[in-house]
Amino acid sequence: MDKQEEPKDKRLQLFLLENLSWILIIVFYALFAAMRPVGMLKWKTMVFIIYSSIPLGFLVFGTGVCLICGRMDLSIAEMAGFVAMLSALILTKWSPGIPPPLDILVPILLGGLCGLFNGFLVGVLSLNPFLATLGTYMAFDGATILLHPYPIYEGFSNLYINLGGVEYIAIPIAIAILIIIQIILKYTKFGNHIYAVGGNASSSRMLGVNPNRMYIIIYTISGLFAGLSALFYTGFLHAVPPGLADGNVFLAFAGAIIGGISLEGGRGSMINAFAGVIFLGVVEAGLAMFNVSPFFRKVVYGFLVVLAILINKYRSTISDKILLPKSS
Amino acid sequence: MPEPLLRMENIHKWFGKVHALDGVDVEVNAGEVVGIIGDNGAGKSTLIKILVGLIPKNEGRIYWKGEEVEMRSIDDSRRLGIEAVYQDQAVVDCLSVSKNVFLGRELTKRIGPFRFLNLRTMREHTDVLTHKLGLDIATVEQEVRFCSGGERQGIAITRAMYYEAALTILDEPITALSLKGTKQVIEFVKHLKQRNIGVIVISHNIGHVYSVADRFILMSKGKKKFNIEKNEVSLTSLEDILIGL
Repeated sequence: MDKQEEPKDKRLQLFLLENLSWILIIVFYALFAAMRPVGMLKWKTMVFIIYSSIPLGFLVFGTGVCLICGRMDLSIAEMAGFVAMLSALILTKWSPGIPPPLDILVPILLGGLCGLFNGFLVGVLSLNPFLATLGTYMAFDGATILLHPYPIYEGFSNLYINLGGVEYIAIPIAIAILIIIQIILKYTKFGNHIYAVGGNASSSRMLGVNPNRMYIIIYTISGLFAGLSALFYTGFLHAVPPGLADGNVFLAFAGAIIGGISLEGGRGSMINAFAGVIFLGVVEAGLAMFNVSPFFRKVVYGFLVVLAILINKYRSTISDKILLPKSS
Repeated sequence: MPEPLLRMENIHKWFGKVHALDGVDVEVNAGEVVGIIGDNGAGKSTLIKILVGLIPKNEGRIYWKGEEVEMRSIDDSRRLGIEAVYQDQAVVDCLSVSKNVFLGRELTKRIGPFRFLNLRTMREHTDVLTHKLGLDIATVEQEVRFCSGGERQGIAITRAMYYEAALTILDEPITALSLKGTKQVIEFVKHLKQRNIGVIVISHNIGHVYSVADRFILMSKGKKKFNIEKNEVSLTSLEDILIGL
């Protein structure tokens, strides 16, 4: 095989570039640990960083699938907030008889339906994905407050809360779901079509892959992840506040981009995107050790996003240089 | 007289007020190479897109082996055995060469209840075919964006070779090719003819088509102007006719 003939340092360079988000995690973690060894080096802190990243992680999965397919879903975080609130109302007030484990399907199904609506706007009506999901972003945001402007604390089943509320349940579930999407993306026909449509929609159409159908499906998937995120946020917070996941779409984009998912579509790995979320978690935990104001944290995140875009730009230039075949 | 492999009858297509195809008839027999020639905007590519089911026709009928057919999607035309190599090559830059060859019809293998891509078999088939075509691609795992124009064309032709359709359409197959690549495409067309496959070669350049085609259809401004057998016409007189259109 040609692969083995490539020089070793070239393969190492490519490996490091592709897994940059993991390197960032290690570097930043080491940095914070050097400054605050007592807090950062605890096993509990490490587990908490991963655990607290999971609800956002689901938003990153949804964002990532859309971005790989060359679309975007700005509404995903507000959708999670809306679905969390609607599910809470259904399960605690309107129809409290739904028994576990059926109750956990409520937010997931509602998320899927909301996502399907986005898919209808983009895939059937061919609306601009940015504007269409900006519209649904605002609609979900407002609708959540209209539904119920106060937090809901009680009335959920234990299962409903424990899924996202217990570290050792939430983490394995999230990792299992991550592995499943990664396998679907890399080793199935459907996953291959997501990359193909993201890479070149018109060529894909000529080869019999219908981009509009793919858009409907990926937005529905994005909605399912919004539903999972709603479920896990509910467990994580032990409540559903009206501002749940509010504005987290920007963090979801940041995570995906730091993880190396290209905004142009057709490129990226979900495992690395998850690393992008954990990286954000490391930064958050590190800053928390210094008791910085949440506004300062926002500024740091803002810079990280810009940094991520820059890194991605150079990452692809450098990897192109390494990959460029020498023959002819 | 036996039914032709393909008969397109009185095909009309409007794009808004533009009459892109104005009652075009085309017939292709098995084992026959038909060159469709015309300037840019003559309607050649539109005709092909209708034939493969990419866009709907406004009027007219399509017969396949004598039976009327509707081409609603690429799947319809592929099911009948119509394979097209498009002018813009229809490749996806960020996918590997082998994934491009099989895009839309990926080979899969079953593991339990699930079907997974059979990446290895796709690589092996692609490797064999690209070598057969004389393409000098470093590895079939290479992303297509690193391929030259000729190599991209080669990938598109590799697809048609793999599926050995009953009718193969080549839309401007040699525009982007080197001399060597051109020769390979011509060999490929001859090979298809030997296997009794019908071929449509589309070009705005008669020189590209003359040596391989058995018959020529000249198009201009959405209309079919001439239908000439090769033995009735020389290259120069064909050129004269085309200039006069």
